[in-house]
Amino acid sequence: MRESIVCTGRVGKEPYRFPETGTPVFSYEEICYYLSGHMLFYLYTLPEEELLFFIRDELGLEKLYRQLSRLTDPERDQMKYFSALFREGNYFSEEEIRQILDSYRNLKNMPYPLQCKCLGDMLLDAGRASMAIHYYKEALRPQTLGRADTGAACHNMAIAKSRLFRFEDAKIDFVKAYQHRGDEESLFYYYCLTAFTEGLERARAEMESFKVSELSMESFENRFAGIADAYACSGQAEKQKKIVCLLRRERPEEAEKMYGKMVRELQKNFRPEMETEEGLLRGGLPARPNAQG
Amino acid sequence: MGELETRKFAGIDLGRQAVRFSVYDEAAAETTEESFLLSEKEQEDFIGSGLFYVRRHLEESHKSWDAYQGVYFTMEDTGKEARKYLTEQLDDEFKKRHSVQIITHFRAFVEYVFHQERAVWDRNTLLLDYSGDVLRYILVEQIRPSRQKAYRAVLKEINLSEYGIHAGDENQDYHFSRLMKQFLVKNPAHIIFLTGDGFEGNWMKKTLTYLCAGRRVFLGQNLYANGACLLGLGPVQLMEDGLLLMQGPDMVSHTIGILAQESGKPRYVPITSIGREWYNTEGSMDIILDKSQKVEFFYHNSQANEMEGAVCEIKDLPARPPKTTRIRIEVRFTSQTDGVILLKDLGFGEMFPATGKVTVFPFKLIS
Repeated sequence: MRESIVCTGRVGKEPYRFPETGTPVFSYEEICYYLSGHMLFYLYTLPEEELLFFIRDELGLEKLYRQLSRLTDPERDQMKYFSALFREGNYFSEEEIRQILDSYRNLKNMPYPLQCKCLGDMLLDAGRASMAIHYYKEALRPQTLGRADTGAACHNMAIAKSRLFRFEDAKIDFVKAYQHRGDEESLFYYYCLTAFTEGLERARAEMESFKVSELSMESFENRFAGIADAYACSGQAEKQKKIVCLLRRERPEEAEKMYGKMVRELQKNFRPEMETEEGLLRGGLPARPNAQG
Repeated sequence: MGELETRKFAGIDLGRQAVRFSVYDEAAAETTEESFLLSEKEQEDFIGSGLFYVRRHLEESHKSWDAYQGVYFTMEDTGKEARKYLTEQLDDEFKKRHSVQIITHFRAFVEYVFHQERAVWDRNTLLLDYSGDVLRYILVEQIRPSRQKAYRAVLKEINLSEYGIHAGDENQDYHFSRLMKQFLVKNPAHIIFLTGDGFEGNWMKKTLTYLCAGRRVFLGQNLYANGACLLGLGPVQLMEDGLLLMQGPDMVSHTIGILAQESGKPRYVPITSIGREWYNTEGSMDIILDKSQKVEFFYHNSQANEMEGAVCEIKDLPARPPKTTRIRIEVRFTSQTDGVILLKDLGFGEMFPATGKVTVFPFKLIS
């Protein structure tokens, strides 16, 4: 006989957004699913109090709210908080809860630089580049990561910097990543950035200085051409083409208007990153107990 | 100082000979009763005429439908046409304020009984409804006298002419009392309610003497209307818990549910409950799909205590990881034994957006 998972509580009218990734959740099951995959964020803290209010007001789970409220004391074991949360409904089986809590324990026992590197990866996936960079820096600071992990951290940090248009810094990190890991993927990213900022000729010349084989070079060029083609078909490229076309037809006012609109859209998308950056510069990373250095 | 607002619920029994109008005042915990007899001509359209009398009564007492938190109708015949006709007869003013809720006389009586103090329903209770040559009876009895008690309400009728009982006959009282003696031996009851125009007049002497021996007997014509207005107080918990089996026309005796895990053990979770008319029975529940895109439903026959299963496959859903599809299940009946289960894809928040796709799964209750 097939068993079903009966949902717990209501679906909220308004979502709760997890501050680390900005992911919105509307139900108890979504909270469980999100938290089970993001336990790394809660190694030294617990989810903020707003989550408890959401559980009480939007989901109507008053009993769970009261139970969790009693477990937010920093002196208490954080494991109890998550255990109570996951055991309220039937979303996870006992076996699954045990596995989640075991992996949470393993994460807690992981060296701090590796925890930071994993956090950086998670934030990068969630599109939080500024925060990711700071965690990568924290991971690389004690220089205790192995060569492979250091290379991976440098590579991902370079991607995060590229997303923030910090191309020159990113290039340096891609080279560092290649030096640590010896992975040509980092070189390819370096090639792309150079081609994008300084042209294909310059990128090819740079690759020659790294003594990249002809076969790899050809592969890089093909992949870059593929990326360029994909961009040419994007909405953003269409807008760019229109602006160029308007300028050619000597309609500068319309071109300027369109350009202004495009920039405003980009700024709007970029604003959360800038705000995170400012916040980090002011307050730094969330503190961990007994932090060293 | 303004008058304190209290909740009032109205129950209207649209009978063929008379319309009964009862109002339950929650604060005073009392019911007021009105009754309007219909002339022969008015009886041809007893629904329309009954509503006319109720509206006129409201006007005379300077009230509108807004005065009541809920208005509930009860009729002897609650067939599709009668329900449709009543809905058409109700004006927009009513429909703006209330939904049209119609229940059978059978349900109205059971609601009445189970909204009384425990002593009324904890032992066998009987209703005798005498109209024309027919004696309808509803027997409410305990069927499981264990710690968690269960009850059954049965509606049956007796053709009195088969027993030589005719209204106005000089032997009516004698024959009726004999019938009651036989009947109560088979169906013992501690409380008896009498209703229907057959009990009117002064013919009951022996019958009353016998009925009242060691029993409590009540005579009233607004019983159904009183039961209907008590619906406003909320559902009877025993009904919600599936512990009140109603055996009568239009009544649903199956629950439709699923099996769920609770503390590592499978548990049957009903989506619909028994004890209501099929047109008043519906239910909904949200579930999460695990690895497969199949949902197994179970139909529990409360009468025979039998379980039957059916698997519904939800097709054409986008590929999502396990446990990231929320499905809203809605169960609706289209007759006493047929209906449809609608399964709507709600996705999983913004992480896995909903498609809104609805799968229709018809069911037929055989056992």
